[in-house]
Amino acid sequence: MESMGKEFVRMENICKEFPGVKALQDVNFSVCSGEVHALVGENGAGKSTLIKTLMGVHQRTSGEIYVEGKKVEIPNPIAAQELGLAAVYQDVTIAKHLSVAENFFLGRLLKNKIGLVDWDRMYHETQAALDELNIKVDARQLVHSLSAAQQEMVIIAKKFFQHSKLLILDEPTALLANDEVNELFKIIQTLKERGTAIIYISHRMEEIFKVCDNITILKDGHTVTTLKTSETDENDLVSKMVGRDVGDMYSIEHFPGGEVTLEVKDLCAEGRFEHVNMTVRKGEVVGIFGLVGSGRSEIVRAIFGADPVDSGEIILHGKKVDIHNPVDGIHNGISLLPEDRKTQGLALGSSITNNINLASYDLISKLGFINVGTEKQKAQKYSDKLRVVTPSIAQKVINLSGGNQQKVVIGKWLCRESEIFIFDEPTVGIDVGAKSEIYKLMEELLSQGKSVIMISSYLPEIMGLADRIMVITDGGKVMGTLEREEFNDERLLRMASGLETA
Amino acid sequence: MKKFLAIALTMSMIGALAGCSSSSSSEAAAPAADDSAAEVVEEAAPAAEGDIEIAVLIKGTDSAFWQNVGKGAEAYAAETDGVNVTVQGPASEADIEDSLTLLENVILSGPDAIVLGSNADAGATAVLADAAAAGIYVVTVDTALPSEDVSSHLATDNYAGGELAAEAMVQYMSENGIALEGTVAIVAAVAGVQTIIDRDGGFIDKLAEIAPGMSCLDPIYVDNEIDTAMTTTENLITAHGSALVGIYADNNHTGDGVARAVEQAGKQDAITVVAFDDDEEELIALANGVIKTLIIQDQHNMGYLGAEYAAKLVKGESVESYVDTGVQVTWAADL
Amino acid sequence: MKTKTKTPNDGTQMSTFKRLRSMPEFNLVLIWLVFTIALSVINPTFISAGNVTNLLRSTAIVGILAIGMTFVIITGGIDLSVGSTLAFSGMLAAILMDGGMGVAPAIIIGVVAGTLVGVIQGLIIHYGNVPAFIATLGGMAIIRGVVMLMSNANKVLVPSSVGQFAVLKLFGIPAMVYVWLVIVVVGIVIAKYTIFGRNVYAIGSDQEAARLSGIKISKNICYVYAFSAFCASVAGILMLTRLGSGTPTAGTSYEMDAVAAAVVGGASLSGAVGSVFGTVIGTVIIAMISNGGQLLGINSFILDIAVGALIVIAVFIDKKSKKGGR
Repeated sequence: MESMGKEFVRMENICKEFPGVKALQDVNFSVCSGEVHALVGENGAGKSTLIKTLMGVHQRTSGEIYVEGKKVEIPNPIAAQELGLAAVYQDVTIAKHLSVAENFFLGRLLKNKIGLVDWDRMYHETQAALDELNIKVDARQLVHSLSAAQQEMVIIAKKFFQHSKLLILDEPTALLANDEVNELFKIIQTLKERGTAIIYISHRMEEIFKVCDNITILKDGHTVTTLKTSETDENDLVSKMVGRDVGDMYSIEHFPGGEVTLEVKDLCAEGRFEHVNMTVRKGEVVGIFGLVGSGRSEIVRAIFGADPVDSGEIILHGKKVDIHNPVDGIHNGISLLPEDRKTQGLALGSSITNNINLASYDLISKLGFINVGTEKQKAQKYSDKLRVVTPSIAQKVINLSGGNQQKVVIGKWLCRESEIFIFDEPTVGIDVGAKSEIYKLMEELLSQGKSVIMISSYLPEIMGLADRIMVITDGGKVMGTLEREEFNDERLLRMASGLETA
Repeated sequence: MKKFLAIALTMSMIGALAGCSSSSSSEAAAPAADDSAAEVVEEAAPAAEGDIEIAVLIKGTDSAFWQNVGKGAEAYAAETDGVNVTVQGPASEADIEDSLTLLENVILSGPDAIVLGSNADAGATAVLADAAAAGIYVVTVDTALPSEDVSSHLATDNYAGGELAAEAMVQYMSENGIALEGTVAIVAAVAGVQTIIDRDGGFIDKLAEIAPGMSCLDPIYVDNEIDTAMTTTENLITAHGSALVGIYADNNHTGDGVARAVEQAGKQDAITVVAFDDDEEELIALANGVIKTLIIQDQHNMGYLGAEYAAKLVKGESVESYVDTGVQVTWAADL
Repeated sequence: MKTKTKTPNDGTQMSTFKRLRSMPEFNLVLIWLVFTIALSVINPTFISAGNVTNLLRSTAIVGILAIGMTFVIITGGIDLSVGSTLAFSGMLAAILMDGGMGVAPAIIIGVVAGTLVGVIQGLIIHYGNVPAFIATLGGMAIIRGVVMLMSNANKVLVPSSVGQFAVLKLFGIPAMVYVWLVIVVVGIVIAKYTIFGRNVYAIGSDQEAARLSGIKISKNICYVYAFSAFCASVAGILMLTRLGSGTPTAGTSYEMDAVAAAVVGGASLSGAVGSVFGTVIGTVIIAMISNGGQLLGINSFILDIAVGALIVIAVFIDKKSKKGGR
């Protein structure tokens, strides 16, 4: 099992300064062949700067980089590639309209004797690499026909195929469901046995403890420490990352027993979900648990009015309401914080001011003309309240970190004074500090008598926060609803896999 | 709309050609292509018997000049039994490629003769070989084409017309006691068209000869847009001030634009404007004294003679290979 | 001592400069200033009242088209039909006048009909799910064809009183320029102070995010193409007064001039980025090249090259400086 080889990459006393900012100061980091090494820290701690310095995207201000004991310069990403360094970034980059094999050979397609593309050999070699890593994908398939998880595995296989000796995985599980995560871990294990060094970046603690051998913690551009995974635990790690004891993040105050605000009766939409029944009270968090693609997002989108339904009723405060589009949803006090906040929750190219007011312009305008004073005032108010970290509310949202972006989405719905907040995977890709802030915010909403519906595939999160969990399995089938005292992670997973009902 | 129709037609015809040449290589495509080829033949068939079919292709339907050419040809058809004339053309003289496409389509439709006014020079020359192969007689009007497949050419001698314009300008200035010095500008319709090159060349050469004290600027091309001609004239007036003593506009659209701009600047007494052609606005400007002289071609005659020559060729009679249809130097007093 | 009292003053000057520097249109204004100064030094006529008048008057028509185009581009779309719409509204008004209708009602009908053309295209783009490029490319050909049919490809002369507007001046500035100015102010107000304006940016940034924020996409898309067509129709009427006739080929290829003005003015064809002010400067810079070039007697083909180069360079500098600034 312990297949750790000799040191592959060593970064010594790395400093990187951007105009006005010291992003990295005397960072030391090394990884051995056959080692999985976690790199953790809050957003802004310097993880991506360090990786980009190694990959030749940024040039270090001072310090040394050694590859296989030899001092090297890495002036650009091509040089990094030639040294056997490869990175799989969060935003997966792959040519979606080409086949898997073409992607493997992109830029250096194989030719046969008469100079035409040698498809047979390309398919054959690609398939061999996929098989070796036990990835069940056909080399001839077009990439866009693959699931997100398969695409990611294909990219990893491509790097492996190109004889990369170091692989950097940046939040590799962000888009994956539980069983897919396990698939990925198997692939990581295989790569490890082949002697590949792996740098693993993730916010998900349980994964780090599952696959990583060592952990290096960064904070504010400094190396805090490097630990063996076996010598630490989750709480210890989190407190070292944030520099203080965070306690149990998920223990927020609950306000049960409020009046019923929302009732969903027998909601159906063919091919997406069926017979959904749900009751939400004031001051309550209702969790929806299911695997990615089970139809859980479709349910909340339908309640909000983003997608049409075939039958069923939505009842608000005892009165049946018609919700055909998002406008209806919003006017009924429902808000949706979508799973993909970048493409669905935010106008990225617009300012914070604009985004916070986006759903509320009808409230602060007359005859179509906006009261610009009120607009700014509201944006400032919610930006302050949510502690959005930004030099100004005129800042474009695209320039904010994931956590701050999520706060702006929340701000948009606070500004609209919504009653029911639907959070779809609210903390994916968000660092520990911002996560606990978002939970505190939910607590505050609940204390004001608002209701929360939350989708999460992270068990500790949903079990910690929800008063009740509705479990969905493939095809949007409701497997039942568990009350807080019935919560049990194994049971939830079995239900979500369709093996058990409540 | 016309553009699209023309493109669609061309496409189907290209398809037909491809079908003929490669019927063995692509079996699936061949039957469809054959159908469209058959259609073309059918269309051509009725024209071969009975009346003489003459297609008149003009350079642009938006131009009064070319509309008159068409009217001239139609007048001949009205007077003559057994001759049918159809007039077609792209919307604007600047649409050179459209006019070429149109020519190709007309050849495929198989008339007995074509009276052709084209800006497409070498492009048209190549296409005319197809016309000759199909036994279609071609008479060119206005712009000559360097092709052996053209039986006769009827045109204004544009170079001579340009010379006349220069003479008219100098004559007006001398008669009105204006010194023959200062700057003369040429507002030119489009670049790369022989008619325009000749008109400007004749003007430039003649002016240098008879009024060496005046300097002539390079022609400024305005894409045959009236609005652009106006802007250009306004800029010329600003740039050269009182040094600008004359402007030569080498067709009707440039004439319209130059006249409007000169009139709006109140410069009709300081700048001697001479223009080619005679659309309604130019004639009004001539009457108002903004344009001093118009060099008017006899387009009606050009169209009439074109159709007559085409009919004669079809009947097997012989015609002259070149006729100068002439220009008329027209002053306000002649109106 | 003296230096000390000066320090805070310098500080505020710096921050004012920094604030200006951070304006998205800063580079553009800089280019404009450099051009103006250079042309004025080479040929002082350039900044004469007469030439500035010429420049503004000849720019007004494309300038108005470009304002409408800016909004379309901000939504991530493009409107290739504006040149044809310009010809349509002018021709319709000219034919109505020719038929004996009063000048004012003819103009109003021309503008309203032209605007409806935009509404129809907006509906096709949104409900038909046809890409804006295709829908308006088709629209360009269809509308131009309609103009040709209406006019039989002939010019239609209008009463000379209509042409008087083009030469009318108020305080030494052509009346046409005021029309442009009004459209510019309307554009700025829409962008800054109306829900519609904010929605345009949000839609361009991300259509799905906008929809999930309760913005009615169909309505706003229709509005945006209607506004573009409205601008084109107003420009068409101005063209009618300038030429004194409804001209069937008027405005041919003006859509590209409008796109160029918006793009030089900082608008991004991928949406969400652009401003009315930037477009105005963009329009003026492009016009200055041909105007200044003609004043200097530069060969017109070289001017074509210069305008083409400017479009590419403006976008290049813009991208470069934004990257460097971050």
